[in-house]
Amino acid sequence: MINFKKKVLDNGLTVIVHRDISTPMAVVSIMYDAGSRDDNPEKTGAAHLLEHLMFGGSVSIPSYDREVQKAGGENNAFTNNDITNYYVSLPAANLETGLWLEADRMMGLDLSQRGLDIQKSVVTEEYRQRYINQPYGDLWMILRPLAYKTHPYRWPVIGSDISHIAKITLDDISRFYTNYYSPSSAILAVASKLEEDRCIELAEKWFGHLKGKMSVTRSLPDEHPQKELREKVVYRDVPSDQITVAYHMCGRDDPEYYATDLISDLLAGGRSSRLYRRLVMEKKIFSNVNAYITGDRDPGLFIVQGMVADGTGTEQAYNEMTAEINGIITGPPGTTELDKVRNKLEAARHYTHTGILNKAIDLAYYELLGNAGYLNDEIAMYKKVQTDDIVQQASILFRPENSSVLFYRSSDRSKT
Amino acid sequence: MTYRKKPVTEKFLRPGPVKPRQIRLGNSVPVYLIRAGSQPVARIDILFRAGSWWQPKPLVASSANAMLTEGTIYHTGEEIAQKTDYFGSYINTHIDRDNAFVSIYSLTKHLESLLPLAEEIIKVPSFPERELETLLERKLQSYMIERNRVGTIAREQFSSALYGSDHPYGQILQPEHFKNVSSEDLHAFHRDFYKTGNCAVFISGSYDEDSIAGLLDRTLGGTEWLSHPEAEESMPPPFQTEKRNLLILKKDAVQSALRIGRPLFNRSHPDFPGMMVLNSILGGHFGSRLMQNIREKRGYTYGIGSVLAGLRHSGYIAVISEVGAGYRKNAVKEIYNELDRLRNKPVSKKELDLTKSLMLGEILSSFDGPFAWLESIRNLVEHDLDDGFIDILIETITGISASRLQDLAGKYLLTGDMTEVVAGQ
Repeated sequence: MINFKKKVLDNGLTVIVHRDISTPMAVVSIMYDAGSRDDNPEKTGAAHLLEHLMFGGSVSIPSYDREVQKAGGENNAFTNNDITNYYVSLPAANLETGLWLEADRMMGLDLSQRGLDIQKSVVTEEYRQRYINQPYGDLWMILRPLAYKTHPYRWPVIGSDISHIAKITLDDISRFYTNYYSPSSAILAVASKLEEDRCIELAEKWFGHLKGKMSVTRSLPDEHPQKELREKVVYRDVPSDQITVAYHMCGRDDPEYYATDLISDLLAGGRSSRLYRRLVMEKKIFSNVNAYITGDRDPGLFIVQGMVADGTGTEQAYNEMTAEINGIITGPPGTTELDKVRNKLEAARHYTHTGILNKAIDLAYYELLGNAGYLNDEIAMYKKVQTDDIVQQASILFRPENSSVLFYRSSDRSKT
Repeated sequence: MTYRKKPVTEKFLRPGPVKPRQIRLGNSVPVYLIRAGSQPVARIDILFRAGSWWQPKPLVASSANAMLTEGTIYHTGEEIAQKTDYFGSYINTHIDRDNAFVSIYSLTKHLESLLPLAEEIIKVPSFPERELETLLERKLQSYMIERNRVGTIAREQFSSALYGSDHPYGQILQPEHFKNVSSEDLHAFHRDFYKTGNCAVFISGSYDEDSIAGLLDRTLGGTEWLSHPEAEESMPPPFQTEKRNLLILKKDAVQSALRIGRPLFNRSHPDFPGMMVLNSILGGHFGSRLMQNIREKRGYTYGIGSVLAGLRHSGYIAVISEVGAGYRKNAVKEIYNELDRLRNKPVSKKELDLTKSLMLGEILSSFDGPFAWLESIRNLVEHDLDDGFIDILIETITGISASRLQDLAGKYLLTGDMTEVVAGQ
């Protein structure tokens, strides 16, 4: 049970406070309801580029990092399809420094052409390091536009191409900042040993005077239901063939989400999972398998992925993989197997919540979904899932025409 | 609108007492007990002096460690996996150059069921042939992926240049090594190194100390797995540092991986804490000189940093980055410029104070939460240190002067002493 207190300030900022008396540290986390799905389709990558620029200093505080360090803190941020999250962890005595810094850069960011040029270069190197200069690094660059035709999830968070990043102007960034970075689009989460009411007072002190803005209305195109199986083969200088199958699944708010999540654990959660036992350990068709859901707010993807073992053909490997996936329907899990994945899920939450940073970020995320309290209630939703629900969801998910398949084929020269 | 004054920053904060309670099992294995955290979970780490330093040939130490959970004389690997997964628990294995680990994550209420299983895994693994074969095939496949990465190539070549290709700290794996490991090799390694005299246990989380102490004694406290009295620490050959400038060409690489550095010493060396401060200024954090110059000012890279690594029998400092292939020459030049600056000009009071606050904050956060606290204590034991090292470190950080740092830079960061490895273009 993760306790919390909530208050919405007059300017629309939602404040969530968690108290943990066992830690000497404090966390200040701000989650903005803005991600790469809000990018301009012609100039993708702006949400992520802005995250970089948020560390470039504000009108009144020239160096964000230096102030965090002076206070003995550490900070970072991440952007995904749906959200951008900034967090700073610092000694509890310096909690106010964290609030001061976050409030300051919510409204007074100092955007300059020079800063933008340098961060475009940094992000270009990030793109090269993560997506070009790695074996299988371009997987999501290919898979996203294969699975999505209209919805913004068709481009990756960093941007669909280096040329897109190059096109982004200071005006574009400034507009994104104005539209999405405001108290009413943000959730502030504070976790420390301080009393909840004291933290709310401090949040009021540092954020209460910021001006609220009209929030922009989001109107994103729905992805049309997929009608036929999509397949793509790429040849790369990689040591092994790899198969990735992506099935369209429901959104984060849908009731089917829980059964879908459990199916991914049944297939590949841990060493006793179906795919691992059958395809890796027994049949040795794959050297590695994985199944997971993207968990996006809008309808996401259910991914099954395997690294084909040497000496196995990819066709055969693909057939064995889909047969085992469909085994969920033809040989559904009994109570013991279902209990196992539910127990794993419950325990995993406890492990995640041993630190205040994860507690703060999770509370904010559930608040964004509608209510921070879901964080505590959600386990009950998983417990309600029965074998019938699993079979029903698997039958909807695992239709061939609902899938996009990406084959990486090892080009000859890498085999020598 | 009222003017809000910048909050006062508290400086030089120290952690409270971090010393764990220590007991010994019936067979003298030390146990470190940490109680912390809000969740009903516990983590137990069991350390063995059984890292790759000790192995008679490549892959034996890591395979023995990974195969512990693949079968015992009483249970198959699948049964072990079923049981741990059913409880939502993990029994993970992990190895580095000096040590090997078995880590258990569990809801506290399931420890009673899991520790007997851990006992089996540690004392009577069966190292089945078929599973070993699968493991080696899988390891080979991920190795083949790894060796396509410029970062991996640079890391391996750098270690080899620092310690010599015949030395366990410098050895580079080759594909043929994967064909040369047998179940008997693992049994022999296990017989010598998974023993009470090589072992320490760490537990952290929410639990009742007395019942845990009893449970640990019943499962791991017996005398049937005592170290052989005649066992001795076999010493590998001495280091053979070859200061080298290496360029490993990879034509299609859009980025080049860099490693520039030199061997130093382990954590017990009196200059180690001071070098930690110097390393922090150079490249130990986001606002460090390397990040500010090469990423934030010039945009040559997504990330650059330096590490001060403490191994049990040595240590090294290294600048690490992957830079756009066209920026490589300029980036290397700027790295050496930063070393020159540290040698030639004292660090300003402002920068030094900032580094001190930052490092003390890092120490504080390394004891934040039960798992971090366990790792910090374990880390000390791994390097034959105790919590006194934390006090020395805090004293060094708070007391160190700019001239002392300049002396250290003059002693240890000479351009002529650096080994430089580039993989890419």
